[in-house]
Amino acid sequence: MAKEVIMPKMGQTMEAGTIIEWYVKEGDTVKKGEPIFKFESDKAALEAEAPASGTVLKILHHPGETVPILEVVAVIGEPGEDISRFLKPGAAPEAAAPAGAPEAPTAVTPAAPAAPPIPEGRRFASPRARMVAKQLGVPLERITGTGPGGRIVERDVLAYAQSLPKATPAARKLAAEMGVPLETLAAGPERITRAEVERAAAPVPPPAAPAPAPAVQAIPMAGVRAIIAERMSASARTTAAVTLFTEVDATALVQLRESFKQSPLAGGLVPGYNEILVLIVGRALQEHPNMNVRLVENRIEQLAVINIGVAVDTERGLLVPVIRDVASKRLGDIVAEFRMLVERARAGQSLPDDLSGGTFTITNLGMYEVDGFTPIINLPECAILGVGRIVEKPVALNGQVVIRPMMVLSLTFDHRINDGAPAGRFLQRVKQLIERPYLLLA
Amino acid sequence: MNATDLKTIMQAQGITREDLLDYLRQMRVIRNFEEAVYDLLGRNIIKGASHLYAGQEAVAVGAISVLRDDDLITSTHRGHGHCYARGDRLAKTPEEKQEHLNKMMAELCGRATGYCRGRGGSMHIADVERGNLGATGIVGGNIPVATGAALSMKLQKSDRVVLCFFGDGAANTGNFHESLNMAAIWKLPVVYIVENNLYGMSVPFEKASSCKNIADRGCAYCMPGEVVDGMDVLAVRDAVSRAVDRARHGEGPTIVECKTYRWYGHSRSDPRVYRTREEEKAWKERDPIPTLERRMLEAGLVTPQELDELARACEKAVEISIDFALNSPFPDPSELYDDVYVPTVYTPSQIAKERELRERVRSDPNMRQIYYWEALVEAFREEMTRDPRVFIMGEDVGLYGGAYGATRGLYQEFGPERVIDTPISEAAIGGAAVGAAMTGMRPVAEIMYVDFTPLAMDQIANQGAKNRYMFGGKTKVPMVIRTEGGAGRSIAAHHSQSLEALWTHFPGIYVVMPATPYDAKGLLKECIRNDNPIMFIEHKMLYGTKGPVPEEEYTIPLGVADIKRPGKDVTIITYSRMVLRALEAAENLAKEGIDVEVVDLRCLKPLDVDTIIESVKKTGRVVGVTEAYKTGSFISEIFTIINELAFDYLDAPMVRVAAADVPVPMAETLEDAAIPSVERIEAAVRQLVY
Repeated sequence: MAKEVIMPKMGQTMEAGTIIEWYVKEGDTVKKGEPIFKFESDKAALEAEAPASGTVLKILHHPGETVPILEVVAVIGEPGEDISRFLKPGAAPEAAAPAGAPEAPTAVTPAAPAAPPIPEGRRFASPRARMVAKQLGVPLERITGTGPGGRIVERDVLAYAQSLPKATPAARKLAAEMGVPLETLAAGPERITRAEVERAAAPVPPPAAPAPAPAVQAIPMAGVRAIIAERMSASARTTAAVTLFTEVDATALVQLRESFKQSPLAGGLVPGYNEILVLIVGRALQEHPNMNVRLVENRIEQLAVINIGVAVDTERGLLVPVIRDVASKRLGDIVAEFRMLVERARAGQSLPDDLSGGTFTITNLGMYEVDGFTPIINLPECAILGVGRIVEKPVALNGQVVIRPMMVLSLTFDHRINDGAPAGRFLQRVKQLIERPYLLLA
Repeated sequence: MNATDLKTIMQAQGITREDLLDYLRQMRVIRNFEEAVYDLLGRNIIKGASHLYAGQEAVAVGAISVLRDDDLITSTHRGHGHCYARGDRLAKTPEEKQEHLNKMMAELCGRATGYCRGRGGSMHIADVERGNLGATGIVGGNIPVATGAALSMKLQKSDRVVLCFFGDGAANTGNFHESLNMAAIWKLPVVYIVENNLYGMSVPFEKASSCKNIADRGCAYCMPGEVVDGMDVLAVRDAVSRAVDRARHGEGPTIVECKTYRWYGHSRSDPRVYRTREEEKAWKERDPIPTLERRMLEAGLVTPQELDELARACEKAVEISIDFALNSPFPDPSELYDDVYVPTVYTPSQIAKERELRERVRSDPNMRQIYYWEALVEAFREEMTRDPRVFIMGEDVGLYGGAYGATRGLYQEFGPERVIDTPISEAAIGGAAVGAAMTGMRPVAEIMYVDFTPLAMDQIANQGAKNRYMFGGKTKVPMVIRTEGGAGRSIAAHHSQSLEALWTHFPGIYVVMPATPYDAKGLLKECIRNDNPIMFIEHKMLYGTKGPVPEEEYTIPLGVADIKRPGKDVTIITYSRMVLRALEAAENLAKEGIDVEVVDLRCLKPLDVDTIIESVKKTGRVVGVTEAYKTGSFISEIFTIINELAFDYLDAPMVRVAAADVPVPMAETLEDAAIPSVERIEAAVRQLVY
């Protein structure tokens, strides 16, 4: 019976894979489990194995083509077998987006909450699949089901486990617990050991020390830490990040804040710098909608609302509460909303929507006397603004050296989506609004 | 009646003053016992229902006084008097007599020291070891059982006699008519004693029958009937004595109707609105106890002081029994499952030996092939030759050889006493098998179609399957009820069903359903040898199938499934004729590369859970195939077991292929549509292979 070769789903965010190379050609004989093609997912280049032994009857997709997951890419069977059912029109994927500059988004997605890429609804898996997954230490979340309605069956677990680099059972178990995708670890001839998983989970130590420093304490990579690890590394791996720096005269900003201290907003609220910056960045994004976008598959989606996340340090680690629809809000609303979000985040009582759906992020390290830095983009957003400390400096102004409170802004943007000039224009507008807040009235 | 009369009667009946004192004592103890039970019920110390015998003492005491120690009785829900009188007669010392009373009271109080270890209580008290085949909660339920016990006596060429007690209400059940007819045809040594206390619960007998006397119904079966005064212990004794004498001498059954009255209502909760206080008073004036006392006083056989002493002794005996009962432990819940079955234990080597044999049978191309019906005949022939206790009874099993030929030639070979044609009386066939099995025979009763087995359900399920447990493990019912089921002959809804699930539902009875000649022979032989009641269900479309059966003697252990075809992709669990269809489907599916394992359960009870679970663990995918109606079929039970024991091994939902939930229709097109076909089985398997 002819067996289809599909584009496998490797990892929960993978929607499609691009074929890089076929190791076999039509007519070749293959053995079950033998690597037959190489492809690239959203995360890594991987190899797919033959799902059955037999002859390669048909290759349906060729190098360079991007194929949705689970799509048939080839057929293995006995020579002469009828494979017409695999060749149905419409089975082929849409042509891949042409390379080069992304097309302008054709439509504005309706208030899409930029949800983190966790599949919606319950994942169905047969009891047997669950049992085998547990035995093999394979996380079900990473497996694509091929049973009815996408149910994960034993075969899927076995195939997934086989697709992983060879690892000891202890390593698999640990990897599953720590959320370390085994496929991201280098597959050598030897099996991956527990130690290697631990190394992958831990922050990379500085290479200077000739002998590894003895650890004082081992904290498992789990919870918020594991999520941060995965998000940050995914961002670092996939974005084409460029950071622009600019120095801003914060005189007006400081004055503004002082004025609010004198006469607070309704309810006695005195806005902080971050809250004022949210308002300012929101206005700049309104004027530069090309910075309020995200990349989904091969499309750049321009978003209808501006939701700004502000990075907050908590006992649990970095959290990013999101203030929604900033453009429609007055400063007082922003202040009140942000403080409520922070309170919930610090108490560990964030609601699911508190921490998701952002379209842009602000991160402020000024309190640590940091000036400029290179923040990492919070996917699937396209840019992040780093805010440095406000510090008095001698500044040349109109031919004279004067002392002014100055602040460095660091804008990291994804060069896949935007170019340096529009990003620069956006940053420049933020600078203008900070230096001349009256422009906000315009 | 005067003193001279009493002495004349004593002389005529050959009884002494001591005998009379004994009857008086027994009647008094029964009366005191019932008064105590009434009180204990009111104080909620005795739970449940007790139907009190007070007022009717003369019947039990008089009738049982006639019996020899090796004779038998069957009792009823209003049976404390029978139980007491019988046990008291057999207890030879005062200590034994007290012990007997103690065990009765303990049983009513639900104690571990009771006759039935607290499992039976008032309505199901028995002492089978000593000839009391037990009470029954089913009105008329023991009439066929008593008849079967009498058949057993006759087949054993014994002159023991069975006394069958029942009430006027039972005389209107089918069991009464079927049994009296059967006993009359075969001249069985049984005496039917009707205690006509005038009311079936609340309905007066005159509203329940157009006959004045139940004994008159004897003429319908050409059986002598006699009406006696049930308040007169000696009158009862006289009539029963003559009836027992007839029975013992091969002259057949008698019906003795004792007109009597119960002092209490049907049960404690009965306000007795259906009878007048005047009527009650009139009957109480005829109380059998003072009546006998008066007669003895008048005859100078006893002094008032002696009577007082006797009365006090009787009260004391009952008090002791209450103390004994209330100081006895309740049954331990750990014993809950004890004695449902006579344990059937096989050694691993017995099981291995049969497995090797069946593998040889499957692989040996030179093995002789015989029909399924021939395999059954061979099994019978071998077992009847081996064990003289084995006999066959049923409709058309004799000269005709059975509706489907399973007893062909046996009548000629073993004669009419061992291959017995019965009237068309399913309940009496079932009940007679129970009674015969409880008294030393190994009956194999045929019910022609499984569709007819509900007619015998009370007898097989309520009496046969439960007696061992209810009676504290002190009896066994080694009987086989053979029947056949299934569709395929266009004989529609009353001759085509698969009702095995009805039978698997009852604890205490095994259900065996062989699919091949080899299984049929080996399992029937094993069932005949097994000490439990067994429903052996053949399939009408299998009798004409042929298969390899070894010449050598063999039996097949019960509760061992057979993997008829090993496979790795999907498990089909099935039994009976559907095994053949499953195998055919498996062969077709093999051509598509689907490797199906076919598990033939062979026995639904006891069930080979291990083989099922192992197969599920191997394949992870299960199709259950049955010819029974889908709703409540035994396959649903199997699926539940798999769910409980192997949930984690399932890789797909389990799929049922069962008969449509419609009465099996006659027209072939409809019948075919109603019953699982090879195609439907294949489709179900394909549905799971994705």
